[in-house]
Amino acid sequence: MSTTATAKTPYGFSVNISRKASGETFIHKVANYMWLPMLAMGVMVLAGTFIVGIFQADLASGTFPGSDAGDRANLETLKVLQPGIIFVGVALLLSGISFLLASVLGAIRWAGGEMQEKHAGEVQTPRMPWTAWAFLGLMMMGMMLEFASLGFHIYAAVQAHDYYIKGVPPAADATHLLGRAQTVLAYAAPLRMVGIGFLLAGIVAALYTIGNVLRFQFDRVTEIILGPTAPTGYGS
Amino acid sequence: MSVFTQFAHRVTDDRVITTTRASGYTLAQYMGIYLWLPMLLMGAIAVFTGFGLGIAQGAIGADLFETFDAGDKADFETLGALSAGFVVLGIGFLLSSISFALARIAGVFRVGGGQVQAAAGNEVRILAMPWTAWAFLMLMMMGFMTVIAGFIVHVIAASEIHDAWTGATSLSEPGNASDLGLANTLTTWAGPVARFGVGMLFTGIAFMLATIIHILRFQANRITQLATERRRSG
Repeated sequence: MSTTATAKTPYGFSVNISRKASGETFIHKVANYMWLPMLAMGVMVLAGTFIVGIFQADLASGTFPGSDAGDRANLETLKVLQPGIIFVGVALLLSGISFLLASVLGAIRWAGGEMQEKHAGEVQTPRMPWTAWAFLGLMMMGMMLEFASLGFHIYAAVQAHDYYIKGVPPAADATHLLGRAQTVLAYAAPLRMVGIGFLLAGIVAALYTIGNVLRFQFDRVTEIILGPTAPTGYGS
Repeated sequence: MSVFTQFAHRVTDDRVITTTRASGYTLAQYMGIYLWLPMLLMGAIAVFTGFGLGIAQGAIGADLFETFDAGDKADFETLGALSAGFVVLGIGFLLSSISFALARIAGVFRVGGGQVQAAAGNEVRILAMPWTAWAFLMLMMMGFMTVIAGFIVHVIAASEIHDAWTGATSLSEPGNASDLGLANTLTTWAGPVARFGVGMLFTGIAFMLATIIHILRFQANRITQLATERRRSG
């Protein structure tokens, strides 16, 4: 594509004007390839935690009442660790959805360009709007926060293990280990929800972008049929 | 025809509105246009409030587990319950924002599809609101109300937890055991209730996506119909 001009539009983004249709951007191509691995990894992580959950339940049935400190320590470690891993799985699934939405945006861009090249003299291609950048930023931030939260969960799990391994009942002078685990979890639990919040906000930004691009495409088709003075139905 | 087939036809047959000019948005779509952003902002505020309460809880916890203080213990437990309530409320708002953004996209299809048909000089045929769209509306409203109910129960439980731990004698001995029992019962209810609300919101989103697929299929058929009519007449 050789851009000959750039024009502003009322849809929240500028357009490049050229003779030839532009293909998908690098981000769209990445999204085409990444949505399936992300979904697959999300499903695998969740299936893994489900299996570990069965093992955990089996451990619990043997641990109470009595049993040895090692089993109790393993049980408490898994209990602390599992929510962190589950939320990483959910984050991977939401990232898969995000990549799919980016892929939809790529398909709209590609098909819109092809249609304009065949039926109009010039091709108007939307430039990446700020909402699409926000979508990318939110998605990456969300994933990073989920992994940070997993790090906190791992640290808390180590502290819980060190506490419960000290005997049945655990030694009184080791209470600070349990306290440290609970304190770290107090940070980690809302942090993992903030991560999910970022991913959901990213999806909202992607949907808003799709809505705007569709408005542009419908108006462009109307313009091609009626000419440049065509009225639009959106009132903007 | 079997009862099942009749039911299937009744559910899957499109009701079509035919007009001479492009139509506007429906009320639900207008709501989608105006409400996605406020919902997103409220969701962000609620989630960050929950996170802030979590940080405060962690800070109190760091002191509490070094030297025991009944007030600190009461605050620690109260903030935990409140933080959980706020983050789940935030997720409810964010899912509602996604729902409204999807309703906005359905509106763009309705208006844009009609606009293109009118420009092509043909009668405008628009899909009447399918049952999946009604289901979406119902699930979204019910889901959101359920999430809010879960949040309110969390707040009540947090108040009970504070009363229970005020006057505690150690990290495991509450000042008022009956208040703690009530608080535990409330939090046991609140968690699943809020999650059920989130589940309804997700189901509503699935119904909205089904509606958008339905609209896309209808529009593809309509374009094929217009092209065929034009070929025959020309």
